[in-house]
Amino acid sequence: MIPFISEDDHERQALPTSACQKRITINVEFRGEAKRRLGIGKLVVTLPEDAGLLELLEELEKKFGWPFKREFVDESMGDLSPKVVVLVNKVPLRRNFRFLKFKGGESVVLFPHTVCGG
Amino acid sequence: MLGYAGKILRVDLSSGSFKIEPLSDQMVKSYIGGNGFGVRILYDEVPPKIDPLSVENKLIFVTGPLCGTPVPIAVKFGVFAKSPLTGILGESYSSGFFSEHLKKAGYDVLIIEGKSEKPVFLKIFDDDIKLCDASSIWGATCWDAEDILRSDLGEKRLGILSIGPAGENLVKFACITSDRYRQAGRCGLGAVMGAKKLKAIAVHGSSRIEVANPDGVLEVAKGIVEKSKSARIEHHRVYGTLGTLEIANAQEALPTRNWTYGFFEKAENVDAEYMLRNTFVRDVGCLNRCPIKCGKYNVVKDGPFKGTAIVGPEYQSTYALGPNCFIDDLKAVIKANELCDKLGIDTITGGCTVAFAMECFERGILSEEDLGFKLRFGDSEALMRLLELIAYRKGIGNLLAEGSKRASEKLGAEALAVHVKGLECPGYDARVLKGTALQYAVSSRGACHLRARAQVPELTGAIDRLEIEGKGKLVKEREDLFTLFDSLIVCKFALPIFELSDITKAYNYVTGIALNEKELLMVGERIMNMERLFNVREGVTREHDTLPKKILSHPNQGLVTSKEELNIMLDEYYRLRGWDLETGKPTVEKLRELNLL
Repeated sequence: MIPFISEDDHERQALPTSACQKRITINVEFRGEAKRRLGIGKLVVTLPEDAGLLELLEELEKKFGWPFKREFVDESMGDLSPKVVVLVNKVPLRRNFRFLKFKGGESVVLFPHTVCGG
Repeated sequence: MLGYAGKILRVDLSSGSFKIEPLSDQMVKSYIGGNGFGVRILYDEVPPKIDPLSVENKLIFVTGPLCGTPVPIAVKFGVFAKSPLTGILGESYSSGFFSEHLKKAGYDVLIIEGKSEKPVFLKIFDDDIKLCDASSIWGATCWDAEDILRSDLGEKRLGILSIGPAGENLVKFACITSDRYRQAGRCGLGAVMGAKKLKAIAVHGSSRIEVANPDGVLEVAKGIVEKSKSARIEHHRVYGTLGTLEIANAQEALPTRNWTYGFFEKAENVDAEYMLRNTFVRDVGCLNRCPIKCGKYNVVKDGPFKGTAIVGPEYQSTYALGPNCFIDDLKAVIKANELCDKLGIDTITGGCTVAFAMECFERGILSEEDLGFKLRFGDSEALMRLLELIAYRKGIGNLLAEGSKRASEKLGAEALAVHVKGLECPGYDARVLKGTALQYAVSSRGACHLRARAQVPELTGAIDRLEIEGKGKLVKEREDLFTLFDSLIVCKFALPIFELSDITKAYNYVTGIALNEKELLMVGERIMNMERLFNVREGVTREHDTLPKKILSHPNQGLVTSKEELNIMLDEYYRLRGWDLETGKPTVEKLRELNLL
């Protein structure tokens, strides 16, 4: 059971990273299943410079104990899972997500278990 | 003829007579069912250029081979007529017990012809077929009419279709309601029913549909139930179609304030999370059978709309009655949705026509004197007041009941009406979704999000939403696939768990007709070409495959889908379709290839 943490708490608490690396901050939003299970909608994550989506998912996994990598990456296909949507600066991440390197201040929205209907 | 009832029921309202005809093998093999039957019959039997509300128009209700079998997602029926809203192919689908009961009563297709002198309802209880006086329910809302029929007919297991005041008053976007909470909404087919003075159809069927391979069909059905538990469809199961709202809004693809913006700042007040926290009561699966259960029964528990209860609102209804009218109160959206359902109004065209009128008011094109009240964006009371006026064609409602295209032509406000071929655009912003733009431009019934569902790969990032190249191929291939869904008829939302290989298996097990995937897709392509032939005969050319001015020239995120971009996509699409690049007509070679010549 993941304890409820308010959005404000997370706005204030950046996740720790190694002190000897340059760092960037990323604004992360959870939607759908992730938001419901984690009980928060937004947080700021600090990552090493040149980090990509995998590093972000690992960082979130460490923090929350929720299997972000398994949810978002289909290892058998070596690709993003077809059931999810990841938006980087409001644009859906294409399947070549491994080449992405974040820049400071970018926004990431994570939608697990997404099927568009209606 | 396994998987089919094998008969067509033809009812002539003018003479009060009916006849039963055999369904031909040729029809079954060439068109499968559903929209294949609907468009073929419409093309063969409805003369060109008729007035859609005249006695010459026909109303065709169709089922598919999978309906009435254990396949749990085959719960839909289709309705066809020449559309009074668009003047071209009118096509709409809904779910409910009608399809199963019609088929179990012994009919794959119901054709309504002529026009009654006085209001009637049609009762089909197996082979007991009667036209009954409906004077006492004429004027009633869809819900009241249905309640009265259920009580009077003394049979609980019924499929009931009805129209409300909007259909009776020939509102050009009147819908047909099925079992209270489901609607065949688009294209104004409720007005065709109203013009024929047909208030309702009540069907009860008790026979069995024989299938070729019962064990195989059960295996398919079990597979669907099993796969419906998978994560692939979890979001849809938990949030319903409204779950799409935050995905669209996060990408600025949620049309807002009559397509002025693609982002709604107060989306969190109308999204699925809000619904789950505040109004959600329980999941609803079509026919209490569909395991996906994307229907959401909602009850407003407090405030001015306390007690309002519907299955919904769906995403499209919420877009049209909420953000597009700049309304940020889901409870008001639920109330407006309930009003549309009771009055018998298509929520998409209804909401979009009100949004159009709101912009006309704010720009001074419509005045308080014209309306009798202020019609500002965000005013939910004004929205509901105007919907009532439209349903009863009172005051300004008489003009708006013609839909936004005709109303805009009268008001000199064509640039503000967001439609394609007269059908108002669904809630995916085609300025930032290029394949979606193409699908709106070419769809047979006007702006339609369901025939190709191009928004799905674009919003999920499976393909680049801003890329032009390849969108012709995307739309063509997905149109053929989803045309197949509409011929069987199965719910398109099931695609993640019911792919082409499953469809092929199900079709073969049910009918015993051995068609492979390629052959089935070719039937889809044949039906698409029949639809085009119907529209070409009504005067549709390449110039009609276009987009509204707001999409072509009013930017969202600095983007439009320009005429040049559209032309590139159209060229690719026409080439792949085998349609003439200048005229948009199917070529002789293509028609021969599809055995249509």
